[in-house]
Amino acid sequence: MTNTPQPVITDAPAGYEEIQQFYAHHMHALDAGDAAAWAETLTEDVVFAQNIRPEPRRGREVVVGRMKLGAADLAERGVTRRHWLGMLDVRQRDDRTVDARCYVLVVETAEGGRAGIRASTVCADVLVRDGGRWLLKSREINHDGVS
Amino acid sequence: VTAPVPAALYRQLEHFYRRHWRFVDDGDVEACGRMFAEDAVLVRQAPPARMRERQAEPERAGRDRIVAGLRRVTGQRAAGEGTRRHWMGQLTAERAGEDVVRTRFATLVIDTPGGGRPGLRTSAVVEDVLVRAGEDWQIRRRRIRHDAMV
Repeated sequence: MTNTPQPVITDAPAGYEEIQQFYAHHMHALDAGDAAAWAETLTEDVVFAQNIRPEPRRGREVVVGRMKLGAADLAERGVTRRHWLGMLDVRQRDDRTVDARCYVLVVETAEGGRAGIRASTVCADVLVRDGGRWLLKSREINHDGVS
Repeated sequence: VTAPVPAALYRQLEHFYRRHWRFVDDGDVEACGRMFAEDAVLVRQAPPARMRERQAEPERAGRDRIVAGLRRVTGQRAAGEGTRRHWMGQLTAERAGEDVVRTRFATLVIDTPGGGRPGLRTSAVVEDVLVRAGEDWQIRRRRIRHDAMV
């Protein structure tokens, strides 16, 4: 019997870098206020829930409509918002579905260049494979400090 | 939405930038300079007060001038402005030819004055054009755009 050392650190699941790239595109489109590009990262039946809101928002049209309002409001106030993603943990559910959990820090900069942290949240997402790309099917955002 | 780059390339780029920001924040100007191509161009869009503060130019062409700028900022910090850390995230990458990659990412600059509390200084987006240089990559063009620039 050979004495094979056991790996202490396991590799990230296959496809992890694809999920990282999905999020990078998704967040850049969101922060750039690019509604069309952002919509392309969502499923038609996407569901958005937040612990600061009683009812989830359902469907791409509703979710993107809300995103446009938010982007217009930020533009009017001259504020840039950035969604910072970290601690991304990806678990395979089946061939075409993954559960992804990450921390998201919302950083805002007002005109003049002063940046501040606006929110600290945890995101629990379900992503589904569609052809050669990933799409967001559901998102549950939990804002820290809100019970 | 562009197709994701292969995992191996993405990991290579992440490694490239980890080294890059380490060199920048450590003030290792020479090592950092080698990550720029000889004919590199650095374009910066920041509020006027920030540009004055660091004597930045909207466009700096050539590795030598980029390195000179880095050296000056590193010197200012060493002279008592405290410590600066660049955090980066949301890296996207897109192939633009056999030996060319376009990347984009967000950066947060965190400054800590000597004996003081750390604070967010700047949130910005950086877009790079990287060219293959042997086994590694070099920055040929960099565009830094601070947030909330009108």
